[in-house]
Amino acid sequence: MGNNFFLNDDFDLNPDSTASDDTDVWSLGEESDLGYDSIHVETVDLDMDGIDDSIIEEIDIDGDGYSDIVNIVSDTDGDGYFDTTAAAQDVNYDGMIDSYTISHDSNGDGLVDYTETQIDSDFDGTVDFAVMEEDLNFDGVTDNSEMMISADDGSGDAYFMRAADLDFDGNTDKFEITREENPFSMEDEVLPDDEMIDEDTTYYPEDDDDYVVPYAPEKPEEFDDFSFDEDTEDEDIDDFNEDDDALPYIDLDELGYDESDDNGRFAYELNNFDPSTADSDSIIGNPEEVLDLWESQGDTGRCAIYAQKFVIEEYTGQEVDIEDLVDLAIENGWFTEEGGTPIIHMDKILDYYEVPNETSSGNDINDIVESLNEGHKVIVSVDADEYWFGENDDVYIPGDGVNHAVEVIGIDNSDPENPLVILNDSGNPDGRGCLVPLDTFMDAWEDGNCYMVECM
Amino acid sequence: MKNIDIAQIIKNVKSREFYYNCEIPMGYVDGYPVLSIKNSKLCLTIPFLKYKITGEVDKTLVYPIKYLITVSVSDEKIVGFEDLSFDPLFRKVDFDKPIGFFRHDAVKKYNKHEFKEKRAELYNMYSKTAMAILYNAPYSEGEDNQFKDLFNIMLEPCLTPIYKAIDKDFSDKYLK
Repeated sequence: MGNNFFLNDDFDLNPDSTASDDTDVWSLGEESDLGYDSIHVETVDLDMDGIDDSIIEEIDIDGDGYSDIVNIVSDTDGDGYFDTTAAAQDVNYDGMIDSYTISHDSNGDGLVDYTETQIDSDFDGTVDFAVMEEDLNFDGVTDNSEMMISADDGSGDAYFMRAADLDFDGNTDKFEITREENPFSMEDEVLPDDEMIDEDTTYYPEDDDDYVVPYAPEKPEEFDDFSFDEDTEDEDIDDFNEDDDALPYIDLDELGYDESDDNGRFAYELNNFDPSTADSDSIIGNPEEVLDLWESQGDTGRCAIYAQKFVIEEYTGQEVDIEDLVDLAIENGWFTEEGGTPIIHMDKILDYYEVPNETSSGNDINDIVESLNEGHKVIVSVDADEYWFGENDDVYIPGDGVNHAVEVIGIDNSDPENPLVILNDSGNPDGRGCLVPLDTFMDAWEDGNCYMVECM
Repeated sequence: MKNIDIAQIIKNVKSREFYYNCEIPMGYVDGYPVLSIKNSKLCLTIPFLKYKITGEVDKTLVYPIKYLITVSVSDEKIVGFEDLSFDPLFRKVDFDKPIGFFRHDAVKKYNKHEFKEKRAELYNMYSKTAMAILYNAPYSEGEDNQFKDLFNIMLEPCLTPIYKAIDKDFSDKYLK
């Protein structure tokens, strides 16, 4: 038995080695030649591989049976090298830890890249001063420093200071000072587990279950096998879309298909609402008042933004710039140029402009009629292919789903046997008040479970 | 024995708040689902992909499957949502580039209404298969072959590599 424990074979300094002896605990007790009253040392197998990875040294300076200093060195990643040290001390022997320090080498290069110190200088059980330093790019130079100092005004608040060199050029890029309310208490953070306190003299574990190590440092979360490296460098991934399973991409240019020329897509001739010839008594809603607000979205996926634009302009009487709305939607994650607008975001710009609205699904045409009769505005999601290509039975897609948002501005009931729904459809180059047979409209609307935004 | 209607389950999924919260952009429609057994529970994985009508017959563009929603068949509980563009396996897939045309050769003879009927027929077979797996309902080898045949007719050939990647067991059994 001796105190030269760092040379003991029982530690996992070499992961390939199975060498081990039975010595797990040393106690110098009264025999200590260091002048302390009691020193207790034990080893712990953190990763349960049968080889110890951590040494814990506890020193009882004042001989009251309680540890006053605890030092820990650990091999947290099991590579055979110590990478973490931690120390805690009860300076005034009141049973509360007053200082705590941890240092960690997260990438195993032998350089410490994370240190943290907490000090309770007035021994009241709360941290008065703390400092943390990180070497984010592992070059041996600190890149991020954070310091906490108690406000010392009895409030429990603390000032936080941060200085960071985020691009690693040696110059501080970020410096900030903030004040936070009662950020943390040392009692919550680092008080030792009661099980570790030996009430009599030195703690002797009796069986394996006693190897409880509340001080064993956890690897700092920031470095927990986490990397910002793109996974595209990971050779272990068996890529889909390579070799035998490659997708047969189509070169549209080779085919002479111009995606931007959507005008040629519309095979279905739709008539347009003409207020001068319409029987006003048979019209539900006030389509003539809003016809001129229609605009084409061109070759974009901005249908839901245009539909909301029409309604906002009807409500405010002011023209709004579509680009402003697009920017707003992109900034808030409601829209992307590539993907368009998810249904759940069809009302978000209305909300922003404080246009009162309600969304619902599972509606029927009577809900639209009722809404228009009350002077409300209606936006719906539809499978526009149903009415853009409805008459050509050889042009269709498999599956049901909506691909478009339009404003319903009225219903023309001049021919009760063949009612027509009047749309301001930004996706149709000739979509100003376009007239869609009710049956066709219902087919298109039902594909999206009759979803509707009603603006009151 | 509860009646299983796969087409209705898909419709129900698309009506739920969860579906809207998935933020699948407009333009994506449900493709043919995949049946699988996960931890002894029969599940249905519904793929979502987009098509773009060019206006030209049989030249509707087909894009790769991008989203998956998985639902437990017996209780319709949603058990998974995946955006494949975040899956490392699919990192080399350009989801905005078309990979094929609809109608493909095997269905060129079907107009819109005939295709809908065939699709309904296929979903009935899905339902029968699900009933057989869940409740040991009568199911013959002939019906299984019929399901396989119709599935291979209806599925766009350009999508088969993705089905193989999504579920190998289902693909091995039903893809020719």
